[in-house]
Amino acid sequence: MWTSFLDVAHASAQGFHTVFSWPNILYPTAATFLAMVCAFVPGIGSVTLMALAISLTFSWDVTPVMLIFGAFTGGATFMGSITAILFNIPGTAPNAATLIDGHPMALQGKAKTAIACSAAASALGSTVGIFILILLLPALRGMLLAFGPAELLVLVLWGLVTVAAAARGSLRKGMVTAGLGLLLSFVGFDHRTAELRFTFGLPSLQDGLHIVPVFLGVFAIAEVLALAVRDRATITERAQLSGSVREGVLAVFQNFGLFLRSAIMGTVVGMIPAAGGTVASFLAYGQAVQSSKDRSKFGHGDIRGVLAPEAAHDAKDGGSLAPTLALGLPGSEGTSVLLAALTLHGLVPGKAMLSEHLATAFVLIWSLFYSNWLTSILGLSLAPLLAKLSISRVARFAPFLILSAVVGAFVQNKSFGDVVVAFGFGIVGYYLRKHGWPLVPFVTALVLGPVFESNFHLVRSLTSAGRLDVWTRPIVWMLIASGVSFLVWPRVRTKLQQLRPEAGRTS
Amino acid sequence: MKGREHLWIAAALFGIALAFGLLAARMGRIAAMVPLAVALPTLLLAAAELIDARGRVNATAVRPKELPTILTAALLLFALYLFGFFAALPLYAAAQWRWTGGTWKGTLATATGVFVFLFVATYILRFELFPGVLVEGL
Repeated sequence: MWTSFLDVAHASAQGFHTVFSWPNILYPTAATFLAMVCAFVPGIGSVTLMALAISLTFSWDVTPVMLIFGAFTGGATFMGSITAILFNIPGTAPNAATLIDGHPMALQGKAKTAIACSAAASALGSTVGIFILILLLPALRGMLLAFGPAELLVLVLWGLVTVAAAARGSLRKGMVTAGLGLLLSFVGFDHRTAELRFTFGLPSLQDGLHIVPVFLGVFAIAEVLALAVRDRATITERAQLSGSVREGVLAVFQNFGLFLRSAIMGTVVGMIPAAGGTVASFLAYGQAVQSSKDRSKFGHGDIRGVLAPEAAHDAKDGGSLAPTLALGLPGSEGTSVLLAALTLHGLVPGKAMLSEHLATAFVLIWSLFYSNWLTSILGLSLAPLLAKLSISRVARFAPFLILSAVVGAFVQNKSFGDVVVAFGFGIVGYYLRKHGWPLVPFVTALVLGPVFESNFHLVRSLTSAGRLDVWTRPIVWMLIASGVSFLVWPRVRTKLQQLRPEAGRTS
Repeated sequence: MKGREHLWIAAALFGIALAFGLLAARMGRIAAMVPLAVALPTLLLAAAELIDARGRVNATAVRPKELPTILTAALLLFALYLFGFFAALPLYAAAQWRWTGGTWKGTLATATGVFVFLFVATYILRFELFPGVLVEGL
């Protein structure tokens, strides 16, 4: 172990003091507000902000840089869920999991409850993530190396099966859309073989399909089209709003087991290099469905479907700092930019970061913590006001939804092709939804596809070289057992329920 | 076509899976390995769904505003391509506002608001929006 718990505690106190002292506190506060505003524009998430901040803060001292980068990471995380809940537009890609149940809640007039639940789950989830990170810091490196490609491959398969089986509509339709999502995730240049796959001769497809435009199309543009076609006056089907902030916050404590599992899952997924927040959110959603006795409400406005991805998404921030600080491997897009900033300021991740510069690492961690709580507190206080947007006239704000979707689709890669992709997927998404084809397995597969393929090839190479025996890994077995039970158990339960009355009649 | 829309959707998805499967079969062994392994079961499941869809009655009614809405979206895309974000988006927002019963004053305010928002956002965040092929060609 590089550092003892006493060193960690001392560095933690030092970092805490740096963040919460005057005028240092102004940096994360301002950065959080900026991240919150930007999160309302789809596509301009914390990653874009951090990328911009690298050049702006190049000559700064390292402490304010850590303060603003921590806040950027935390600030945008929760706010993206508000647009997801209210307008079916994921502010950031991981918020796509939140809209599955969050938006139906808004349709039922319970936007206030959904936003409050999301805010509470975010703040508490980030706390769990940071708490786990602090606890694991002394033994981090060894633990990170225990989760290899075999575990990640089976985890991705587990997530896909769970989400496809839990989606609205039939399991077969869910599997078809998941398969198509996976196939589309293979579009572009294959780095292993230097071959172009499924590009149809279009140069704009050589980099593959970008996730943000597809998400914006499938969710935001399809939603605006559906609202316009149905000629609905307001988002919600009810004239009056129901639910309350209190109900949303209490939901986290009433489902505390689910919250804790999701937050731990988010932290663990965040720790896996390159897995990212989207994977964490969708896996947590799948886990929420799998662990639930009554799965029929999921996808129709079940508050647990908001709680789980939000807790995981925010907990992931703490987790993703682990491989960044300990191994120099980014756990998400945001931490890859953070890694660049750390290196530019002379901080080398690894042993030095967890010993000599541990207090600086804690400045980043506490700034992230502060930012997560600040956004959630603001979210809670603004929930009643924001919820009123769901009863305002659709015709008035639909153009603004289109505007944010179009700008969001374009901004990330500065490509008009992405705008065309967003519109194309908007129309496809509208028709698929209209005919009961679930879209969640499709987008989940699109996210998980590259992770699945790269780990598949890694496992294949390692196995053929005799360096890996997949079947001797306990985590692999646990995940397989869990996935199979998820598929089989509902059928067994139905059979048992059918047998019971017959048994009663016979006796 | 209208009464059989669900059938066309199932057929289109089957067609996409088939096309991907055929394209994957022509790739190198390593590049095709995972896509083929995914395309084959997807194709079988899509075929089963297509067969089921043939015998099913279409329960989803065709909505009267469907085609005009999709055409409006296509028109917006074309306007964005031609005139760029700064012209097409304020115009689109203003037109929508006016067509849904907004006043002229409100329409003007909407167009100005959208333009100012785009201008400020691009200035502060230092990104450029697509200028449109007409402006780009000047």
